Amino acid sequence: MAEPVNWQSGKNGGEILTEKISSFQLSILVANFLFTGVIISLPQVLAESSNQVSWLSPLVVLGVISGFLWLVVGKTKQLQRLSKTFLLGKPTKLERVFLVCFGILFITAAIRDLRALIDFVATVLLPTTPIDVMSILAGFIVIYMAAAGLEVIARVTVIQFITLAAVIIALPFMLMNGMELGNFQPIMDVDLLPGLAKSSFLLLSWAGEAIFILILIQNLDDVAGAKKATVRGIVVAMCLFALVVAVEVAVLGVDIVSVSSYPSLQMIQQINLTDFLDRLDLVIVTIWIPCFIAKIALDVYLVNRCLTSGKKQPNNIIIIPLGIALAHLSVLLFRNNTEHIEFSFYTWAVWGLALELLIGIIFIIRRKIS
Amino acid sequence: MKLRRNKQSEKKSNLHTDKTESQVHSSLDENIDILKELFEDCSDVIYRTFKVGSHQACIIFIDGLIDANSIQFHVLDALEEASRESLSIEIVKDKIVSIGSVKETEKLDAIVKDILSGNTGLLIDGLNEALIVDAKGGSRRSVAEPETETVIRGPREGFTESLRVNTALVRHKIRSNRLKMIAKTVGEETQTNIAILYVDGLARPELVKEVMARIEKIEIDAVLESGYIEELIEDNSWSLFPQIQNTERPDTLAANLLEGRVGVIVDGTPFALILPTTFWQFLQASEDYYHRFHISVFLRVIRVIFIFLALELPAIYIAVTTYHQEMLPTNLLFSVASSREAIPFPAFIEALIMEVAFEALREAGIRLPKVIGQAVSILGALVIGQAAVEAGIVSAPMVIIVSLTGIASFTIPRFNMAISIRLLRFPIMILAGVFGLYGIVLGSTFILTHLCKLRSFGVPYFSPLGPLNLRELRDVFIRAPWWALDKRPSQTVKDDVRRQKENVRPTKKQRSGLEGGNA
Repeated sequence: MAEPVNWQSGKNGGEILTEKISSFQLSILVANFLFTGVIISLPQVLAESSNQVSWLSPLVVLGVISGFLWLVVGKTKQLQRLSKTFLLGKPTKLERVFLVCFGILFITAAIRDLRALIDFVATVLLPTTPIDVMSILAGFIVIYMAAAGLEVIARVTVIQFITLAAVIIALPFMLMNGMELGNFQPIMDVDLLPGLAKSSFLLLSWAGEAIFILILIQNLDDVAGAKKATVRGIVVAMCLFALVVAVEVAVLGVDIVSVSSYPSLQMIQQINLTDFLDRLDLVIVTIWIPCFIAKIALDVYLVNRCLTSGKKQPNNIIIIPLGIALAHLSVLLFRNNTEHIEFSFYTWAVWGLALELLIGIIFIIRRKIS
Repeated sequence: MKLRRNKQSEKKSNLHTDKTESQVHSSLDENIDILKELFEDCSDVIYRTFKVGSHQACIIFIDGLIDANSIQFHVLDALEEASRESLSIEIVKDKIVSIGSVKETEKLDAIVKDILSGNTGLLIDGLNEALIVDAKGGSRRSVAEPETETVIRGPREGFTESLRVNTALVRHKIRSNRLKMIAKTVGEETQTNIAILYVDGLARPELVKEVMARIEKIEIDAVLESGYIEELIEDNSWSLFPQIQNTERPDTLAANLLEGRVGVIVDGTPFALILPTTFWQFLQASEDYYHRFHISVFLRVIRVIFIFLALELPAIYIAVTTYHQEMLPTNLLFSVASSREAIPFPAFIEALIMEVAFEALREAGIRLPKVIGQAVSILGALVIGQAAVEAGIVSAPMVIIVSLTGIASFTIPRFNMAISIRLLRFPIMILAGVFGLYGIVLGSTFILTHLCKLRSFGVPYFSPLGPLNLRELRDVFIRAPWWALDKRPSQTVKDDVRRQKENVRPTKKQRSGLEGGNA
């Protein structure tokens, strides 16, 4: 579970070794990457499509995406061999195509996520502060974390995500008073299957972002365990998301969840433990925000890896302009929150999925060539 | 007028033209002349000439640095009683001078160096060698309870300013030949003696090598305190967080050496350095390991909660009262609102005024003599706080918040970490004042990222939380019972990880009294 020790003095001699993360850290990175993004607004469109069985879509997607990644990553021995050559040195033509698709996918994801964070904070925490200011602030912290490297991102993510996961698991107990199991009825109706399929399709591209692990193969301490670690991360993320959606449906009902911009926030506003502890929503939000920032930092880090793959100069040289550009674009490219939400729900479902499939196919071809 | 300081290399080359590089002359007068020239206007350097048989001899020492009785008895009296006509340095060293540590030298600069270190030089007319007699003395502070690390339970001895006393205190704790002490000298002018301590077989050889390399790289005119060395060898001197621990307690140093860390003791200061170090070590006190584990668990949990309060409490108050009033329960909201009604300043300015005043009071309390310092601190806090509230400058809740924060920072056992947290409180307050909870979250995330990024001699600073190591968390947020702390930290010790035998607790029969005890 512990990160492998890198002997590094940094200041006065000693070698700085390649960044390595353990399988456990990879699982948490994957779980955080998938969960923190979907929890903001996605339950709305899922409930809109599949009503009271929307909590089943994460479980459906779990199976599909796990299978897809299992297929893409391939056999362990092949992966171990590939980890010694893939994206090391000057990239081949196929690898360049891979990097371009990968870069486009995660640039779009980073812009989308940054805007999601800014809009959420603007709505919930700071309604009178200009979003440009918030984007600059978020940009700075994201740049700092991304420039610190993969090991640091992993460490921060592990600490924050475990806290968030504990809070999410405690949610059903905290909201027991407000739950109505009647909101789940009818539970299994054949008429709901097309809706379930639609909501699963909308969720696929979000869960498919787990494909980011492909660029991190040489950073894994245990390459053989990469597949299992990834699937574990997907399972954790989707199970937690299923729990959140289920509690939302139980507490708020489908009618409210399907029209609310931030159904998760509305759900936690219903927490009423005692007269004193009835405003835990902002507390829980402050636990979620660092996890989301860690996710965006990983987005930026991945984009930086794409852009500097095979280059001789230091890897962090373009992170600052990259981060600033992404923060700026997140404000410029979406006129308002509605436009952003439409992009996140509908455009991303196709755009993201197409890119992920393409990346997967290219990786399979590259694997077979090696 | 010279405007540019000489480089260290230039200074070194100047020394080579110095006469002290030469051999000891056989003529005593010549040697004394060279030394008198060198120690011109040094009134504390004493030249005591006397006769040994038919030979003229001279001892040179610095008044106040030597043990005069030892020199008198073991050197002067012994030499004066010796009735030998043929003298050689070996005869003097082996058969006449009866002191414990004696060495011979042919170089005058070695004599100079040793005299300046508190040794005594013995020159005899006709001999080309000199003897260096180790009879250090002088008055130093005696071993007493450390002032900065008082405990309720535990040893009451602390380090002093004498290197040898300090190394003896550690040797007293670890009576093993595996405890190594490497002597070094740093500081061109001060020639400060230091000792690098480690336990062979526990401390990683790479770590010891790295420590020695960093210390050897130091080229500075003076090292008056271990803090000089700390700043010169730490990984990131820009960081607010200390990456090297310091302690006045021999038991703390010994415990850390037995966990594979390296210690550095510096002559002239009671503060020894321990490295590498992690963030969580600064929240640990030595008595955590002396009390029963229930007490230690409670104290550690308290410290973790209070370090959070020390950092975040004023900021949370500012954010909630300025931007997120809906978070407060209604009754509390009315109470806070009514107390703040007449206050002309925003919450952020109010907090800043109180925090700065509190810091000033605290600093003033340290500088004042002990007799009046405590009284002034208490009076100042009470009077200023009360007067400020009555004058309508600050609100009563703010006084409570600031007091709580101050008390919270006192719970941090290590002063250098407490200072860091106090300093960080201000930017977090600024962020809270401008951006509310969002600002606090961003600031806290920045601090967490920084902590996860730092390393101390290769060891991640925030371990075992970042990277996560569940086994070693037993000695972080809690202190597992001694029978459960059977392994040393894996970040510092690679090979000999087991520190105690398995199943050291009494057996069930022993506990029930059926075996070897009264029923």
